[in-house]
Amino acid sequence: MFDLEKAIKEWKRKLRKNPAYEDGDIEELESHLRDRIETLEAESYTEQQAFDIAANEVGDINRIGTELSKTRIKGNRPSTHWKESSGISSLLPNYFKIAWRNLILRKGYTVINIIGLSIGLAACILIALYVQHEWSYDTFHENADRSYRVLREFDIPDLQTTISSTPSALAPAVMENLASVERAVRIQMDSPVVGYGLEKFVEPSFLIADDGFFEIFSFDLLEGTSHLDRPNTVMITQRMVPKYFGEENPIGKSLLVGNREMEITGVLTDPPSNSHLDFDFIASMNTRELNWGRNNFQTYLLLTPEYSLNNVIKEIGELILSQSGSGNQLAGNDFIPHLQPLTGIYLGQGVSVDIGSEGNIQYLYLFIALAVFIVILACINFMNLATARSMERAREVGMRKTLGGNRTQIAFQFLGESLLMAFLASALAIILNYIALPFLNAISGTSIAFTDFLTLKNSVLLLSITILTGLLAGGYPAFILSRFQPSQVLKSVFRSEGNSFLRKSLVVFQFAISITLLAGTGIIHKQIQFMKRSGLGFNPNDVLLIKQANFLGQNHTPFINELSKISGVENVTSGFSVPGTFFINSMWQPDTPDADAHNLDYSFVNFDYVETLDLEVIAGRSFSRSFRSDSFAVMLNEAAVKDFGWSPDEAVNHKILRGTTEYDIIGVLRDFNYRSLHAEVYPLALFGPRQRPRYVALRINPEADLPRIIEEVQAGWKQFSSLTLEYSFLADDLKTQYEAEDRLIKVFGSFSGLAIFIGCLGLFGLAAFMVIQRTKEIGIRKVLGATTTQIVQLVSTDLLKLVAFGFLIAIPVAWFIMNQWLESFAYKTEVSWEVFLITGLIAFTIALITVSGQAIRAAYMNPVKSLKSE
Amino acid sequence: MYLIMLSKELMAASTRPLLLTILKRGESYGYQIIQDVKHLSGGTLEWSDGMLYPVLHKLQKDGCIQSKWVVSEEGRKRKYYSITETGLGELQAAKAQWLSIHEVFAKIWGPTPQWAME
Repeated sequence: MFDLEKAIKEWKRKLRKNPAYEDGDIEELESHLRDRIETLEAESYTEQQAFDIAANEVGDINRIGTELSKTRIKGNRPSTHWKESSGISSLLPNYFKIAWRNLILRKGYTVINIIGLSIGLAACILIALYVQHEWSYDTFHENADRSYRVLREFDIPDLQTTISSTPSALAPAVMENLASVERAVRIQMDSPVVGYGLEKFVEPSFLIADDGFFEIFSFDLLEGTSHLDRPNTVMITQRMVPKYFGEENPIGKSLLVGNREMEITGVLTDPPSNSHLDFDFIASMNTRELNWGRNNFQTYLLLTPEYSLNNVIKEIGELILSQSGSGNQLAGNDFIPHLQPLTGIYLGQGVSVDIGSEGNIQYLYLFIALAVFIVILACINFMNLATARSMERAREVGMRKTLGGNRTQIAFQFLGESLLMAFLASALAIILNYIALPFLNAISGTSIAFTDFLTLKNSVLLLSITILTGLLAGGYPAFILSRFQPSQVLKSVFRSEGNSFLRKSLVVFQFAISITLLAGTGIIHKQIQFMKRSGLGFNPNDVLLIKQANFLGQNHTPFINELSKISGVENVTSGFSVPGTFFINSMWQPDTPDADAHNLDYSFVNFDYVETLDLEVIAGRSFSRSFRSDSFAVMLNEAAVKDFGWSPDEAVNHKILRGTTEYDIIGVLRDFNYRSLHAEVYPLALFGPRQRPRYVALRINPEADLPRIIEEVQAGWKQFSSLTLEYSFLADDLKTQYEAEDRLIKVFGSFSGLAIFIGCLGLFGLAAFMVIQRTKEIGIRKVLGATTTQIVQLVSTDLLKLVAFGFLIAIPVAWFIMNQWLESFAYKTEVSWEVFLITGLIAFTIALITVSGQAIRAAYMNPVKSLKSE
Repeated sequence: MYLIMLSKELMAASTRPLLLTILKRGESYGYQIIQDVKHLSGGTLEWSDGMLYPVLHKLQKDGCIQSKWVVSEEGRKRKYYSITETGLGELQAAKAQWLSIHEVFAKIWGPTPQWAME
């Protein structure tokens, strides 16, 4: 039976024997032959006849060959070569097919590689999502590009500070006088008791804002009106509706806010997590007072589209100057105004008195660097394993080359494999990401949805990262492997010695990065511990804090008296502020003639404040019930005294004043950290007892029965207040100061763990590979009497040396970087050798476990089997 | 039909302009081109099919034509040739030469008698 395909194949083989024919020529002639056969068959010749006629008509193939070779200059490939002229694109599916087969063939290697890459990519995506979220703060406001917040900068010798609180009179004055300000809005933060019927809650996210708020801020209104022009009206967020009203429609109902009835005029959607203002209520501003001395207002401006930022700042400056002439000097309004873009508030640096949540742009950069490092690690892993395999594949490359594969084709083959692997890894990364996102949200307090990831921008980003990773990771092997000389590799004299140096350096580099990250984690941890433990200047332990004490009103003193009766309570005090909470900020005048006003943080405190918090008095005395005048007395801290240019002992004879009211300085306190250890202690004044302190603080004997004391405190509270008692421990509250660092260490810790893991995957792959390569050697050693221990040593030592090298490189790098980081703290720990010792031990142990598994396997191999192989 | 076997030299000289003329009418591939040649010449120009290809390749090398691979619907790979500017120029020149030769012979031999063609 005649087989046409076979005949054509045979015919083609004859052509191939003639060197004059090249791939394209044969294809072209074959195509011709088939066309002719088809035509002949249509003319009802049999297959065989058709083939014979067609082949005959094509003519003497040797003569054609001779003619063909005449058309070429010797050694110059024709530009009509089939593969070249078709371009890579039509061969792409083929590359991927072969690549896929290769991946399946080497399962273990593929799995290690894909897992490594996908973890790297997933980490990178997670970080990218987080960074994107942090950078997207307040960008959703429609007019964000021309919205600003006014900052006040004080540039006084020894005291440069920028604060966001501004005088209440600023916004109205700016609105009235500046043409390029379209809208100026004041915002205040409050935390009143809000009640509806019998339900009462303390609401910590309560904003008070001027009408026009919604011209600057694009929070969505669900129902009602977006105007805040009527006094005693309030808008609430969606999430608050069920809390107070259940199924009822809240519009038109009244809430009792403090002691005022407020009508609900609107329901808003919950503010997104990327808004620096987080609120549940927005009440209309009742304050009509225009005061240049009351500073606890945030001022937001919406500028006209054709604004000039510098002009606006200049005009505000002039406006302030014109006001300071009107008897307001003491209020300290000689500040330099600044305009902070709305979108820059969250990541804004150096604003020392601020509202809303605050990010840290340095940490974002750090995270980006981390993401890049992890992807680099994963790539290195990939390259390492691939080059390690080059021995195994050298023969394949040799065969391909011998059979006519050129270098480009081979390079493309390897790139195809690594691209395929990168795509598999990135698909896996997306799944991992889906799983890991809730953890990220939990760690960082964000509410990033998985769907946030599915944007065009992100897809393009991921696609480019994937392709780049694939190219980067496959590029090196592709380049090196395709360079192999077929004659060498096929003769089996080839050894990949040249690569082993590179491979080793890559492992060293990888571990250097991992260990640096690990050491960084250690130092951050140490710094947080340090901040928590020391340097506060007061003792936050065993201090019970009762909040909302201002709602006690007249019952304040009886309540305190009641508390002091409880056994186990050593001291009771109260104050408008305690460390970690809000301190008021204003300008105060010393009693020396012609002296400038100075900016001070200040607050009002009750008797025994100094004793309860364990503050140290370095001159004078603390507040005392035996001095009736102490409500007009003040204690300064060292920083304040220094700022006024006095010594502590001199200070006690001075006064500070505001308007005509004078306050005697009765004592000087050693600086204590009432803000954060990030910052140097700021000048502070504590004034004597006033009405309505916000906090009551109790120092409790550490040996006392705490639950009993709390029960008794609760009983006491009930006598005087209808609110639920809210209390906490000062030491716990202060932890929030280190939230950013706590978050940093969690993120940093997790990712450096990942880095180590990826590094170990690579190490594992290398060890496994090495064992395979040295199977025979190990077998011979065993036969000649090597012990298991010796074999394990033999295999592990080489790789562990690399880890040790990595460690040596990591030490100075980590030392330098972490020292830089610590510079941002006013109170800092030292980068000490223990951290490195522990880090080194951890890295080494993990590496040892990784490698020794393989080494032990090698050592227990039966030499008979290993020597018999091949 | 009255067949004239052309001499090898004449074949060689005429093939190039012939191929260029065919390709001037539109791009085409080897088999199709040969069918056209056979059809146009009514069998006057007899060559083995395969010999067409070296000529095409030479034309391409000289820049008169260009080629690209196309996969047809039934999955056959075909190399399509098309004429270039250079090719058009060469065709122009060849045409002028052949016509002048033709004129010379026409003058000498007179118009071909009608019976001689049958």
